[in-house]
Amino acid sequence: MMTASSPLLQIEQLKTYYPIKKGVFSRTVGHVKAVDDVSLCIYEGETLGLVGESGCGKSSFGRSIVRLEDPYEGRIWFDNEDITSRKQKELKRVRTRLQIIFQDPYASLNPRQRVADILAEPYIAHKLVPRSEVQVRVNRLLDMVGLPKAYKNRYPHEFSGGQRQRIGIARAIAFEPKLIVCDEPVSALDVSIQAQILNLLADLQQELNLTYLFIAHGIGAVKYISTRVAVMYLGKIVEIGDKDELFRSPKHPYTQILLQAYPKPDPTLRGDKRIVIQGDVPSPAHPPAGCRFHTRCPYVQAVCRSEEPALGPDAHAVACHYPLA
Amino acid sequence: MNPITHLLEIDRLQTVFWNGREEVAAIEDVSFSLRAGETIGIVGESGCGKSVTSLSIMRLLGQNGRIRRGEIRFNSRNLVAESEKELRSLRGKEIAMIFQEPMTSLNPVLTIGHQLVEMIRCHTSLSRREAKAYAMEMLKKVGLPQAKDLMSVYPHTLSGGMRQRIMIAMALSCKPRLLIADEPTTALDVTIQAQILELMKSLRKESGAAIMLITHDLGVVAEMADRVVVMYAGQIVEEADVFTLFREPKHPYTQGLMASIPRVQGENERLRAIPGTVPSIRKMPKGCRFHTRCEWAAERCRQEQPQLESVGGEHQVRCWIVQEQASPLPVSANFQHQEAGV
Ligand SMILES: Nc1ncnc2c1ncn2[C@@H]1O[C@H](COP(=O)(O)OP(=O)(O)OP(=O)(O)O)[C@@H](O)[C@H]1O
Ligand SMILES: Nc1ncnc2c1ncn2[C@@H]1O[C@H](COP(=O)(O)OP(=O)(O)OP(=O)(O)O)[C@@H](O)[C@H]1O
Ligand SMILES: [Mg+2]
Ligand SMILES: [Mg+2]
Repeated sequence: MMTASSPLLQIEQLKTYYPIKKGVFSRTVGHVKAVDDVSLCIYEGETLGLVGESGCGKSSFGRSIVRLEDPYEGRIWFDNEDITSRKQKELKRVRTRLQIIFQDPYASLNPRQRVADILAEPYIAHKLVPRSEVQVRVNRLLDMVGLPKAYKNRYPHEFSGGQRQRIGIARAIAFEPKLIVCDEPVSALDVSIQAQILNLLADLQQELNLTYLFIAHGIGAVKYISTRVAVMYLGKIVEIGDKDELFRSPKHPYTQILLQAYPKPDPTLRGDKRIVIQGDVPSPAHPPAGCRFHTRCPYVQAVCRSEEPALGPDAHAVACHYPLA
Repeated sequence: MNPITHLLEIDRLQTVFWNGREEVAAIEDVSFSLRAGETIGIVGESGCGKSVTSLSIMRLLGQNGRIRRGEIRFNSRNLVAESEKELRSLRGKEIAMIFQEPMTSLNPVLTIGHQLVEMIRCHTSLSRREAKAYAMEMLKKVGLPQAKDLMSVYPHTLSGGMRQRIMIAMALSCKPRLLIADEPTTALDVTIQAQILELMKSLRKESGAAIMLITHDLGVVAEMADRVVVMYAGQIVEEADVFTLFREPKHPYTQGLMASIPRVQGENERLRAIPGTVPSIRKMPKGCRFHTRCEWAAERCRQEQPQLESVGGEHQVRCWIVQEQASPLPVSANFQHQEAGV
């Protein structure tokens, strides 16, 4: 367990809201509460997995951490520095240590740049490496992510999805960052390629002592790569804890259902009793009162409809009035 | 084998596409069959030919595509030879399809009700009023109780899970004997996916339709299928009943796929990834199509193309190594060498 070490990232009551605008004057008539009062820590060297259904706010959370979104409220401490209201210019310095990789590597790579230039760019932009050394660094990056140097002069469209993700990873590790937010890095890839990338991420973590926030909706990938896991529902963390413990004995009904709903690659387990919850995720613009999960919870009680449960301070914490034993 | 009547028999199917210069085969030598009431899972990675196989059955290959070889017998009729008119009467009625992307297959400018009613009237002799009542009945059946309101809304206002339910309602409204479901849950969240899979199971029980379930998710296959066909680079590389396939996958590709899935249960071992990438249909490797990524590949695999052959009962594999191992013939020296190295 990593809890003994100091937090590399500390999030305090973070809210990321998107304004809903209407009318000719674009008046703000409400907010999509994508991230709504989230507090958590990520410790050095660990991987915190973040799971939850589409639209629950995972990407908004990840993007807020690297300040691609401006938080509405709350504090973000990274590496003992409050980066909540740093200006874009000052962020440049922070970003060498704080990186993000995306689900769709194609969208984040400039299609008109050769791989060699894509990878050289951060070195040149930050002027941290003498010009003469840039190519050496680029070669080393390619080597680290398992791409042949012969591919240096190719354009992004000449690569497969898995190879493009390798380029995205190479770019992210250019400055040996401390923390990388991985936003669904394998979701768009084929199963056999997913495994290659997961292995690569695990190796690089060892080699470079990286810390990850690993966002995914595939439970299997999160189980594989994480040290701890946080479960998000409609903008809130509903459960967080050590991976093995959380998978062995989930305390929140939503966590339990997520783990059960996932079809297991084993036909002898079929017909297992499973709870199927009905209905869709409610809109984050109008979250239900009380516990946000109460509209779909199979164990709902009266208090759940009116009072919002808080996430406790425990190592394995749950936000539920009636946590599972 | 005892004489079983198959609902669908696909025999050495080859489908090609014209790319402006030449015809390129997207699927080749694809053969499998499906009994009434049975569910067959078709798995394989992106681009391996799953959708082309199903579109070939529907004969919806567009301007550039055609079936160059093989037969598709549905209820003993060879669909490859049928006229377009005959096919139109089969499609949607006897064979229905849920397409890969529910958004693109619903017309965005027509209401849900309009599309359902048209679809039903196209294949039945129901009046407009009867068709409407029947459409609402189908919507209720797929777990959309607010059927009356839904009839007048447009597709874009609905969530992915609801759209997929509507697609299923549409597909089942004419009581097809064969339902082709192309990645019916891929775009959906796990909780919604679980709802849709349960729904498909109960509808299958009720209607007795045969289902061809296309997916790249081995979990979905394990949950739903009776038999499984594994495709790689346009060909079937393995076929078996679902329990046999998961208990003893034989083809190195199938084994690799299974080892690539991170397990939710059990310990975290390092994932055994399959190295390399899928070859392009324009440049298929000589010999076995998987040999460029196969740790077992021997000289014969690089030269000669293996056939899909039985390795016991209905378990079929397209692999020289497995076939040589299964046959009583002496195992080649090359293979023994490989085995020692693992
Ligand atoms: N730029 C934006 N403007 C307005 N609303 C937004 C914006 N980005 C996200 N949202 C909304 O915020 C909510 C959370 O979105 P987010 O992308 O963070 O979810 P997610 O958990 O990453 O989902 P997915 O699994 O689909 O990637 C959603 O309701 C989404 O529609
Ligand atoms: N209309 C078309 N014209 C030309 N080539 C096509 C056409 N449709 C499919 N192909 C090619 O046929 C091959 C098989 O495609 P197919 O869509 O069947 O793959 P798939 O297994 O369904 O993949 P996915 O999991 O991504 O849906 C691919 O190489 C594809 O590029
Ligand atoms: Mg996201
Ligand atoms: Mg497809």
